[in-house]
Amino acid sequence: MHIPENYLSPSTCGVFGVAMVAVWTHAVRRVRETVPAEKMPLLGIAAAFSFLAMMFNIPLPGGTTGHAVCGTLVAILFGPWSAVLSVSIALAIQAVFFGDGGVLALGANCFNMAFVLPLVGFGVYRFIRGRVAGERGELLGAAIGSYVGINCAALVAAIEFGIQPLLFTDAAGNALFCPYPLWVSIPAMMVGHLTIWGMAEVAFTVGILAFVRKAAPTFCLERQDDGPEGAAALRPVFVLVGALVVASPLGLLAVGDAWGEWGVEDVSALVGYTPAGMGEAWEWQALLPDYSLGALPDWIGYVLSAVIGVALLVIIFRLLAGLSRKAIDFG
Amino acid sequence: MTHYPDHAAGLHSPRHESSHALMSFSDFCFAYGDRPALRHIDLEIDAGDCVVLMGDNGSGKSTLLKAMSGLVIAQQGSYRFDGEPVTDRSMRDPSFSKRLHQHVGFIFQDSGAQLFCPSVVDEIAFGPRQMQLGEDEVTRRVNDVCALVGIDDLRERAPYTLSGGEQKKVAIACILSMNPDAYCFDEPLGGLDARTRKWLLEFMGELRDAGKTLVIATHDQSLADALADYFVYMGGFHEYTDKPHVHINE
Amino acid sequence: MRESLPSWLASSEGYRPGSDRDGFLTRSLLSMTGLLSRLRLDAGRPTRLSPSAPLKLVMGLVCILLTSLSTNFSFVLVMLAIVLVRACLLPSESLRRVASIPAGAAALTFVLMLPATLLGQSHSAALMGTKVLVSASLAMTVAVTTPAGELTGSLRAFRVPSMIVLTFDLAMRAIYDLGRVAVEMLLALRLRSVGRNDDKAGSLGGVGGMLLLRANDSAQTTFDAMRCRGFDGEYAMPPGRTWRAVNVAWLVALTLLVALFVYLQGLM
Repeated sequence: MHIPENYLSPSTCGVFGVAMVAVWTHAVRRVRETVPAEKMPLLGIAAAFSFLAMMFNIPLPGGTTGHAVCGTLVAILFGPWSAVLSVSIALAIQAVFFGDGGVLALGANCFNMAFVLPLVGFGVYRFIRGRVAGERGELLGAAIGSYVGINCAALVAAIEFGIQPLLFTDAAGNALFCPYPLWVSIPAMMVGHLTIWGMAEVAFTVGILAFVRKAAPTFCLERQDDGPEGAAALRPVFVLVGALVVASPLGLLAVGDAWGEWGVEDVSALVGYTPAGMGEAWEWQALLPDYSLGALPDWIGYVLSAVIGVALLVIIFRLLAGLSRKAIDFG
Repeated sequence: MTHYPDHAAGLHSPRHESSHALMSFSDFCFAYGDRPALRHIDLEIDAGDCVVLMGDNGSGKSTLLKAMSGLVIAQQGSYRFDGEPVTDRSMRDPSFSKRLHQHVGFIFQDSGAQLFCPSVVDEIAFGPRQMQLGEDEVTRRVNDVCALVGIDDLRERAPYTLSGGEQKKVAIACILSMNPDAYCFDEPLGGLDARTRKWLLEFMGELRDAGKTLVIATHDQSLADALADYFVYMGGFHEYTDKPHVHINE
Repeated sequence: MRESLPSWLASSEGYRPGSDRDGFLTRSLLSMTGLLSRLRLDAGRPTRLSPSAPLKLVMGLVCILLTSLSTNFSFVLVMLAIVLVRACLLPSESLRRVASIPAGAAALTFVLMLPATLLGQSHSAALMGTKVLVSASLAMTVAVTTPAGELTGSLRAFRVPSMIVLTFDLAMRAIYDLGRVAVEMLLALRLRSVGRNDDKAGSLGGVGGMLLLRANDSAQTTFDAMRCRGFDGEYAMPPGRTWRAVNVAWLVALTLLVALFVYLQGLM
């Protein structure tokens, strides 16, 4: 669901960027109020889950691929505004270091996957949780919430794609940016997300949530009075992250691009012309473009990218934890 | 200037009838890094009091003295000097911080670290010169203080070359010349010979009698007995007299 | 010696200072010298899995060398992954130091390489920046995970004369001590900044001069103390075991890294 560079007009990117600045400001304030400094590194782990989930590409018959996002998972574990920040940072790392999603389009991508997705997902989760009690209520809420969340995000992304040819065309009527109008983009994106990728999101969310609740009950915002404390308690989570990193090359098995994540040449082949906004426009040079290393086999590049991404997220959140003033207990 | 002994609860502080106290701590908390040094200090010191802080090493005596001079700022609670709050922001105002530093003279435990001028005369003249008092007044003060403290023969010496006792006298002299209203002494008798100790005790008594506020941190019980109007015991120090006292920072 | 208090001393001063800006002088200096005294001489304790200090030094140097020599971006990225994973596992205070300095150095490199980026050679800029980040992080990681004494001690394993090691040790201790003394002096200066100081340079010079004199004193005292304990010019190192079993594993890892470097260079 990552929108690449130059698929959205600069004005569209600008609008969503401004909107996200307001969202981020609010999220930072809420996170500072609710998340104690010692829990911040856990946010990094949660962001790592999201980052890794987005590396597992799942193919759809017909040639496109998609992926889960796990934004609702982070929202359930740490609250919706923490999820906004965590997923935003994961998306930023993907855009800057790996060229996955445009840098200018970061605002729009964050709006879809780091704002709409977790908030809608969390809202549905809480609604269901209020009506169905116990562990079943939580898992059911997680399942339905994440499904609704990812589909809403896909819908918004499809709309962002689809209005481009309606608003931004050149004199000849050719689209300047994304060439597919709403009646193409919406069905194309929703088909996959309503079916396979929605299911993948549910599977990831429920699976990881159940695992974490059972194996590491202290992995949450509130202080637990019973249960093991400290790093030992979180070992199952670290093991899971490690396993996902090692398994990340599975994401390579899915050949083919996700809908809307084509390169410029693919677009011209598909529609017969190169939209003017894409051809000569500015491209960000990422460190590991498309998670590959060039000379080495793809799977090494993938694992390396996963390692670098997860390590960066953990470091960033540990540093953020250091920034927030620890409240000294004066007794 | 009557003072009342503390109640069983231990945190009631002696109170003066009129206006506000000279130094007023209210729930003052400070930590070095993540190590709390001062916890919930409630203390009021009136102008003219002679207060002795007693406590074991590490009980926070030096930190409290630093707080009085505005060197450490409350992380919780507040400290007011002469009714005005001492905060990061107020200390950023140069006229306020200079006024505070002039009003509260601080004599360090290690007097050598306080002296940085080439000669004793320069050292003593440093404060008054900054206060723009005019060279005549400066000279007069230097002469008065040298005679008072008894260091006339050391005037042209470099402070660095003096003995421990002489350095302590010079340190006191260069604070005296600024004429603060309050004096904070951190372990003043440490490392002094018997004669200098006797002199210092008498001198502090004279300052007290002249109406200056004295806050003295010490282990020395004879000094405490001789001078104190009341005691402030810190860190659970065991009281040993019946004189008025409060307990803080337990 | 005794005289009654003069009149000006017996009454209150009633001083109202002007408000000309004067505070920065000591505040910025205080923060700088505070930095000196924060030099942690006891950083890092070896764990069961750490290599011994001489080996750590060698590994650090070899890795930095290989990173600098590599023209294959893939190798630099492998080193980056290694450095990042190691950084994840550091304690918070160490992490902050390891993150800030290399990040600053890399940012500076990117800025310097900006002309290359604008001319279309962004690949070189990325390569240089990443190399700087990796090398600086490697150096910081070694420094932050090894107690200072062990680092200087490891020089002995390389047959460096004991005098030089002694000089290093004493210098580090002196920096730490003098940092503390400097802070005290600047505090005293600040406490006596009650008005306008027309000779700021003189005051600072006084503090600096005192620091120098104290340093000299301290050196003399240390020498006397060492003489009293039988020092005769030979700085004997304790015959501690610097070889640890886990070193073998680290050596194997280092060899694999060198092999990877050679292979990737061969691909270029």
